Amino acid sequence: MGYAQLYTTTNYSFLVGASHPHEFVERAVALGYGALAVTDDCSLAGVVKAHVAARAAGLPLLVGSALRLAEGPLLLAYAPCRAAYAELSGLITLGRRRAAKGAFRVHLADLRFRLRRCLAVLVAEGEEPPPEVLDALVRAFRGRLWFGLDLRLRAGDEGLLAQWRELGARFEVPLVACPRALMHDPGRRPLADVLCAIRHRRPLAAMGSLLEQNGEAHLQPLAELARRYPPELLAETWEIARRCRFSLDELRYEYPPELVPAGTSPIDHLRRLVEEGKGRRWPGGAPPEVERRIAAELELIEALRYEHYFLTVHDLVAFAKSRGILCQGRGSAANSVVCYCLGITEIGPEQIDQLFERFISRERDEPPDIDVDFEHRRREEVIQYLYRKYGRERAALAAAVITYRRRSAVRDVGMALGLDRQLLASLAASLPWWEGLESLPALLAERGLDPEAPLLARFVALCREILGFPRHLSQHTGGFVIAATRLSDLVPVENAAMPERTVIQWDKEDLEALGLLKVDVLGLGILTALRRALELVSSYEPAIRSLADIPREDAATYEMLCRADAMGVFQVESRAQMAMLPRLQPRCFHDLVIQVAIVRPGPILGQMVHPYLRRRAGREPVEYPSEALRRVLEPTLGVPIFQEQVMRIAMIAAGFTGGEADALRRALTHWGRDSRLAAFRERFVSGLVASGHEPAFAERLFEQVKGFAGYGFPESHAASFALLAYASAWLKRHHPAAFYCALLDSQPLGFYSPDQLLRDARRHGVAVLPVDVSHSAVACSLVAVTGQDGRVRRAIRLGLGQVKGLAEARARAIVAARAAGPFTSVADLARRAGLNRGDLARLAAADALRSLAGDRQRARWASAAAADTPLLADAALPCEPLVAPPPLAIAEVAADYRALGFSLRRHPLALLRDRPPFDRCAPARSLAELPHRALVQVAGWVTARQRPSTARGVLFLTLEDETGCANVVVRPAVERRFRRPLLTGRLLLVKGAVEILREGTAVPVVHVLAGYLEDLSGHLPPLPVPCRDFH
Amino acid sequence: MSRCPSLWLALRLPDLPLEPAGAVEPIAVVEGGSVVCANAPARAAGVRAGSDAATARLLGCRLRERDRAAEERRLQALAERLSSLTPHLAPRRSGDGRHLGLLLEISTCLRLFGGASAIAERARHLLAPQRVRAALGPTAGAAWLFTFVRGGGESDPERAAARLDALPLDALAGDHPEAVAALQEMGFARLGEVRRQWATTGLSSLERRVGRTFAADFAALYDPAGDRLLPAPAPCLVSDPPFAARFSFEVPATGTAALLPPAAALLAQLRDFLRRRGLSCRALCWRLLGAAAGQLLEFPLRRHRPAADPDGWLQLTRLAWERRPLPFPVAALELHCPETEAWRSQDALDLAGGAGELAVALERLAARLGEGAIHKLACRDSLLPERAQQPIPPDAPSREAAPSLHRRGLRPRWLLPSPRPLAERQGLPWWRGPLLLLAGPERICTHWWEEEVARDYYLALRRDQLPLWVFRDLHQGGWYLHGLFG
Repeated sequence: MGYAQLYTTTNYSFLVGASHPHEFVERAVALGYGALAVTDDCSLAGVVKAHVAARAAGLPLLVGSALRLAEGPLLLAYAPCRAAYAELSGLITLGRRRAAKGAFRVHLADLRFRLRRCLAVLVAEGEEPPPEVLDALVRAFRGRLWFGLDLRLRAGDEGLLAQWRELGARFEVPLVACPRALMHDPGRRPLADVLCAIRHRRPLAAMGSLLEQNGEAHLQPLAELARRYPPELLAETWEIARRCRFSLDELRYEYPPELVPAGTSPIDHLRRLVEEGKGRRWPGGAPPEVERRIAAELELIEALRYEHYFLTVHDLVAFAKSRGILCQGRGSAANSVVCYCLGITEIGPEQIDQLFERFISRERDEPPDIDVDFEHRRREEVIQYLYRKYGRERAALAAAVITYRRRSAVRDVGMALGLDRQLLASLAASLPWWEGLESLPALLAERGLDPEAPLLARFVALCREILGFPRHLSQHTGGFVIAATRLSDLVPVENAAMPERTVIQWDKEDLEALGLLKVDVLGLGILTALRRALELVSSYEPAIRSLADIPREDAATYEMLCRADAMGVFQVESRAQMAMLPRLQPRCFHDLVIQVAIVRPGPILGQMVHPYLRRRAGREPVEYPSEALRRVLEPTLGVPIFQEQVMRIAMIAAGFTGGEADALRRALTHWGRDSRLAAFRERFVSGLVASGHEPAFAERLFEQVKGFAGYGFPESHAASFALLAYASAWLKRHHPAAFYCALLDSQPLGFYSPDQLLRDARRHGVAVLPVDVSHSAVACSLVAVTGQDGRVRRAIRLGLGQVKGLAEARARAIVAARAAGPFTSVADLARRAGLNRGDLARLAAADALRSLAGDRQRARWASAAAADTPLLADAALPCEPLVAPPPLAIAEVAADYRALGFSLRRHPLALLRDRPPFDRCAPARSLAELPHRALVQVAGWVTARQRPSTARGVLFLTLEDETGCANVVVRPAVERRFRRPLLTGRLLLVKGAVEILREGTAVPVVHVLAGYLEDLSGHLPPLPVPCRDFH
Repeated sequence: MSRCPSLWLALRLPDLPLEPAGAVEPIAVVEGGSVVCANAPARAAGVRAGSDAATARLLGCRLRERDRAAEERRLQALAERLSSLTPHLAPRRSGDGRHLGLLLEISTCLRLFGGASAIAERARHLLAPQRVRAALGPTAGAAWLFTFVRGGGESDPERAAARLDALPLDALAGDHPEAVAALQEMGFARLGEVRRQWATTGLSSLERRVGRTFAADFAALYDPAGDRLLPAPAPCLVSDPPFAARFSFEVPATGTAALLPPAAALLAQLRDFLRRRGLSCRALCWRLLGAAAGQLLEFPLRRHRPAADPDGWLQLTRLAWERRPLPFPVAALELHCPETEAWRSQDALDLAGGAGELAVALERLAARLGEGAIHKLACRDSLLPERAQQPIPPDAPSREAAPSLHRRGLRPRWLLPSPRPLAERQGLPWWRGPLLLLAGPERICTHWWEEEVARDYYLALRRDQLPLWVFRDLHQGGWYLHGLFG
C-alpha cells in the first residue's frame, strides 16, 4: 500500500501551478509516493506531459481535473476507466466552451448527468456547502465520493477535520487526505506568489490575502504527511489510486470513416486512387521499379493501418486542387511514391533516390507526418472545408502552448515585484534578441541599479525561473485533429481567441507522444506568389498556365542564380544562401536541392560544406569510403549531406534494415537523450567490419555520421522546396515584372521588404509606376509600356492595396467608381467613391492623388477641403491654390515610407551622399573592386540583423545604400563594444576591412569585417525602416 | 480706428508646477510618466521637461506627481498679487497643459506706472521668487509666443508681425496640435507661410481645412481686430482677499480667559463676512502674537462640515486653548480663514442628527487632544496579523471586513502593537510562568519580497488560565507573544 498524491496543480493551470508536470513526477518518485494524480483546473492540458514522464519513471498516474462549481464547492474528478475519461473530457469541453477563452463554468447539474463513472473528491473547506448541494452530490456519486482534506497548516485547518468527520459520518462518505500541491519543491514558493500576482495583475505588495499564507503547497515528505493526517486518511488515497486503472496509452485514434465509399475496404480504395494517380504520372506506364515500390509501400501502409491518414490528406489536396489552390507536400512525405501518385507531393522517383523508410517504418512507434503547404492567403478555405466536412464536434486545431520568453518574463515578473513600468519597458526593449537573460544584470547596472541588491537579484532569478512556463493556449498554425466520432471523447476542446475557432488542450508534442494523428494544413507565401505570377504571365503568354508549364533545367535561370541574383527566390534568397550561390554554382535541379540543404546547421556544424565545395571546384579529389558506398554518396561527391544518405550508409555498409536505419537517425537526432545510441554504435561498427571495412574506418564513419545526422536535412524536403525555388527563379529570370508584382501582392513573404524588392525590380529594368487613384487596381498589376526602342515592356503599377490603412472595401469602391469614367478632381473622387476625410488623407499621404491634385502637399490641401464639401455640392467649386513652398526631397522620401513602407524616389543614402561622413563612405557596389583586406568605411541603413546559431556568436548585418547591399560581419568582441548602435541603430557607419573571395566563385563574395560601428540615425528623418531580425 | 492700440504683457511661469520652489535637492514633477518640470538642481543633473520619469529617478531626482488643482490655486493667487497693476488680467494655459502663465493688458496703465518695462519689472517683483519669462506684444497671442523666444517681446505691430512670421509652426502645436500637424503636412513650416496663404486665399480657405478655431486664433495672433467685428473684451479678474481680522490688546493678556471675548467678536466678524458672500468655512486658524518678535502660536481648527456659527467655533476654540498654558503674554489675536466654500442649506440643518453628535464629539476631542491624536481601527488586507489592522483618521472611510484568513483562523481581540520576545525554557515559551501549547501550529510564511516572515502560531495557556497567542520564529528561532485572548 502506498500514498497517492490526489490534488496536484501543474503550471498547465496557467499562472497557478508553479512546477512543470515532469517535475512533479520526478519528485513524487523521489519521495516514494505510490501514485500521482494531475488535477489541473478544468483542464487536461498537462496530463500528457505528466504521462510521458510517469511512463518513463514507472509511476502510476491518475488522470483528473479540479472543478470549481458555479454553486461554490470544489470537486476533484478522476477517470478510473476509458469511458470515464471520455466523460471527464466531455465535461471539461462543455465547461470551457460555454465560457470565454481561458475561463470555464461548470454546474452541479452537469456533474450529475455527465460524470457517471468518474470518482470524485469534494474538497473540504471551512464553509460547508449548503445541505441540498451536499445531498445532491452524495446521491449522484454514491460509492464514488470522498471528502478530501487539504491540510496545509493554514488558518482554520484545525477545526476542519472534526467538522468533516462529523459530516462524513452523517452522509456515510469516507474521508481522504488530499493536500494540494502547486509546486514540486518548496523553493518554488516565490515563483508561485509571482504567478498569482501576474494572474491578478497587481504587485505582490498589494496582493494581501490573495496569496497563499504559507509555502506548504508542495509535495510533502511522507513523514510530514503522517504528522498531519490520521493514518486512515492517508490509506484511503490508495483506495482511489487502486480503482483508477486508466492510462492515456489506452487512447487509440479512430479514423473518420466517410472517406471510404460503402462496400470497399480502406486499402482497396487507396489502391484505386494510387492506380489512377500512377496513370497520370506515367501515362506510358510506370517502370517496374516504381511498381515494386508502390506495392511495398501499400503493403506497409496496410499493415500499420495508415490508409485513412493517406485518404484524409488526399481528400484535402483534392479539394484544394479543385478550387485552384496551389498546394504541395513537404518534408519526408516526398520519399513516398504513393504520396507522389496521390498528388500530395511533387517529387518523383526520377528526381531523387526516394527512401520510404525515412517516411514510414515498421520499427517506428510514431505515425507518419505529412505536412502540406497551401497558398497562405487561401489556407482558410481549406480549414473551413475541414470544419464543414467533419463538423466542429470532430475537427479542431491542435494547441500551441505560449510560454514565457525573455521580454514577457521581464515585464510580468517586474510588474509583480513592483518595479517601475518604464524601467521594465526599457529593459525589455534593450534585451538583445539573440540572447537569453544573460545580459539582464548588466542592463540593470547600466541604469545605475545594483543587480546584487536583494530585490533585483530575486528579479533576475525569477525571470530565469519563469522562462518556458506556459502562459496560455493558442492555436497551432495548422495542425488539425480529426476524430471518427466526438473529438471531446479524446481530448477536451476549448474556445480559441479567434471567433468560430476551437482548439484542443494538447499540443503537437502531446499528440505525437500518444501516437495520435494530425493533419498539418500549413500556409506558404511563395505558393500564393507563384499562383499570382502564373496568372499574370498567362495573361500575355497563354502557354504558361501552371507550374508544370515551366520549362525544366533552363540554363539562363541557373546562370542568374550563380550570380547570386536571388532576391525574392524561394529558399535561396537569404544572406547566407546568396553568399553560397556563387561558390556552389548550381547548374541543374539536383545542384539546387543541395544548395537548399547545405546552408543549414547540420552540414555547417558537420563541416561538410567546405569539402563539398572543394570537390565541386575540382580542388580536392572525390573519394568514397568504400566502393559499396559510392552509389550512395556519388550525387554529393562523397560528402554525406542528406539524412537519407546516412540511413543508406547504415543499410548498405552495416546491414541495417530501413526501419533500423531510421531508428538510428532518430537516436542520433536525440543523442545525449537517447540511451539506445551506444547499442546502435556497436551494431554499426560491427556491421561495417563484417562487410570488410577496417574497424578504425568504421569508428570514424560513425563519428562523422553522428556529428552530422542530428541537424541534417532530408533530401525529400530539400527537393520539394527546390522545385518551388526553381519555379520562382525561372519567373524572376524570364518574367521579372510578373514575378515582383506577385511578390508584392503576397506580402509578408520571404526575407525582404517591399522596399527592397522594388529596388531590386528596378535594378532589373522593371519600371514601377506609383499608386494612383486614376490608374491603380486594388492589387498590383502589369501594364504594357512601349519603350523608346519601340518594344513593348511590362511595368508594374502599384495597387491601392499598398496604401497603409486604406480599407480594402474603399479601394474596391474607388476602382468600381472609376469604371463609370475618370475622376475629375479630389472632390469628385470623394463623392463618387464615397470616401471620407480619413480615406482622402491616407491617399494624399501615399501620394496617390497626384493625377488629380499634384504633389503630396497640394493633394493634402485639396483633400482637406474636399472632405469638407457636402456630398452633393458640385465638384466644380474651385480649389484655392496652395502657396506653401514645395516639399523637400528627403521629407518626401520620409512621407513615402510612412504611408507606403517604401519609396520609388531616390534612396535616402543618395540624398545624404554629399554630406560628411557619407561622402567618405564607399558605395556598396564598389566594394568588390577594392583590394582584398583593404580598409574601408561603409554606411547604409540596416535591413537585416542575423545571428545564426551556427556562426559561433558572429552577427551579420546587411546595410543597404543606393547602389545595393553590403554584408557586414561583426565578431563577438566588436559586438560587445558596439552593442547599442547594433541594437537600435537604423543607419549605421561601419569601418573595417573588406574581405573578398574571388577564387572558385562565379562572382566575388564580399564581406566587410567590422572593427568600428557608429549610429548615424540622427541624419534620417523619422523613417520607419523595415528591418528584420533573425536568430 | 480711434481705439488706443492694445499692449499685452505675457508672463510665463515655467516653475509653477514645482511649488514649493527653492529646494536644494533635485526634484522633478511628473505627469503620465514623463517629466513636466524640473528644478535647477535637477536640470543640472540633466533632467529636462519631456524626459521619462524612470530616467529622472535614475538621475537621482525625487519625483513628485503633478497636482493640477494646486497649480490652479497658485496661479489664481499669483494673479491676485498682480491685480494692483491692471484689472485686465487673465491666466493663460496652453492647450496641452504644459505651459502656464498670466496675460496682462497694460495699454491703459502705461502712464500710471511709467511705461511697459516698468510694469514688467514691477510684475517680476510682485511674483518673486517665481521664475518669470516676460514679453510684450500687440496681441495677447503674440506676447505669449514671444515669451518662448530669445529677445523678449515687440510692441510695434508691424515689427511684431515680422517676428511672428519667422516663428516655426510648432510654436502653435501646444494649443492646436492637429491643425499644426495638418498644415505641416501641407508644406507650411513657419507662421509667415500660413499668413501668406491667408492673404492670398482668405481666412476661409484655412477654416475649411483646419477648422474655425485655429483660423480665428491665428488671425487674432496678428491683429486683435482680425476678422472679428468687435475686439474681444479683455478679461477682467476681480479677486476677493481672504478673511483676516486682528484684535490688539492694550495690555498683553496672560490667560486664555482674557482671549475669549475678543475671540467671540472676531468670530462674529467672520460670520458677517461669510454671510454677506454666501460662504461658509470648514477650517480656520488662530494666531496668537506676543510682544517680542517671533512670539507666535498657531491653533488651526477644523470641523467635519462647513459652518459659520460663532458659538460652535468658539467652543472648539476654548477646547483648543485649554490644551496648554500660554507661553507668552498675548499682545494681538488674529483670525484667518484662508479657505471658504459656498454655503449650502443643509450645513445648518444637519447638526442635530445622531451622526452629528458623534462628529461634534470627535471635533471636540480633536480640538482638545490635537489633530492626529484620534484614530479608529480599520481592517487591511494582509497576511501578517500585525498589518491586518491599522489606525486611520476618524472621518476616513474604513474597510469593515477582515480578510477571510483572519476570520477563519484563531485571532485574539487584543493584538500587541509589535510581537514581544519570550523566554524559552525546555523548548517551550515562558512568560511569567510556563506556557502550555494547546493548539497549532498555524503557519504564516510570506513577504519574502521585503523581509521574509516565517512563523508558527500557537494558542498557549499560562498556569493562571490566561490564553495567549504566541509564535515561534522559524528563521531566527525564539518565541514571541503576539496577542491576548479575552
